[in-house]
Amino acid sequence: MAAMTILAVDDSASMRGMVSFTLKGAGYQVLEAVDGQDGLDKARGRRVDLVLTDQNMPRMDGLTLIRSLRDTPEYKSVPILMLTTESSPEMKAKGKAAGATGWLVKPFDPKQLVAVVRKVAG
Amino acid sequence: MAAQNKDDGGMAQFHAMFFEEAAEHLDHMEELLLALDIEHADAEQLNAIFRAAHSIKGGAGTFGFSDIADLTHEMETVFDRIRKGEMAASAELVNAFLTSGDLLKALLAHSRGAGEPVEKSEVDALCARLRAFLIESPAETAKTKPKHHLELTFGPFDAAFGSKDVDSALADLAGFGDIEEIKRKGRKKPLERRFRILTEVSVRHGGRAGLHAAHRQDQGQRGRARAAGRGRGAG
Repeated sequence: MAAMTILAVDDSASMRGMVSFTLKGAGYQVLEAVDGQDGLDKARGRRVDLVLTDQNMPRMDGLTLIRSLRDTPEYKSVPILMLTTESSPEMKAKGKAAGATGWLVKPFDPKQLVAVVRKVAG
Repeated sequence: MAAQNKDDGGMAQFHAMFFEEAAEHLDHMEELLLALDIEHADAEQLNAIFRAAHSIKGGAGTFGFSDIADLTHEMETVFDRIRKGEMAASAELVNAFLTSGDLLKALLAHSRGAGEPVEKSEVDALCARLRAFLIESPAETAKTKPKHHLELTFGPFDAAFGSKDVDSALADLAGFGDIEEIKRKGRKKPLERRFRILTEVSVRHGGRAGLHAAHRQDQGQRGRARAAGRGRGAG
């Protein structure tokens, strides 16, 4: 069975690197995007099985990316996790309203990231 | 995480990436701060400064550099208020941010083994300095109220309202601002009395001052100031 593909969206190269390193080590394929617009373009270019996105990014932030993906028929039910330093109840409510499946707070524990991804995406 | 436990070289690679990114963010932040028009701050510049602090904080927390994370957290909190219009930028604040940027560079240099250690007390003091901006500015747009000069004329006097009634009316206006009578010469029985008032009460340029309603609202009193005035902004 082909490995599942995860789209990791973050404007920080080191953060994308850490996420990619962690998830590839767990057997996933990882596609990286540098901001929300890049993430949207790449998600529409090929099917991904899970999206992992930061919130504060130039060009397009995480919430806008999520809303745009949910407006795309192929992504109505694809799991989308936010991975961000933001943790306020207000932001989480906004994330949920936008269509986020779950929320992980930075700094993240790599083992927890893998566990959540496995639970959500399989 | 097997790879993480057995391959420290992998983690070192990400540290190096973080140091490089943080240095770029700090240089960019410094450029933006030095170019910032405090009176008319550009929204995208403010957002960019916030994102720079936010990005450094995220990476610092992830890679375990707590002093860097603590300081950038304070910077992020202050600039979040500014970009949302909840507090105003100031020269003092920009200076505090530039100082914070310098300290972050020193912290990063030490973290990558290229500089002297930074005293925690220095980081704590700068964090406290940044937090003080939040205490000084309430969580709303902090703008100094403009002051206006009003010229107030009571009169012409008649049987119902005379010169002696002016003092009573002025007493009701005591909370409005600084009141100075414009003295007239050569008249024993003036038909009117004129005053200059410096006040924060908003008035329309060249229009009638809404003193009656504004005064009632301000003082919560029933008395009326039987006056009309022309206002202009303080020079």
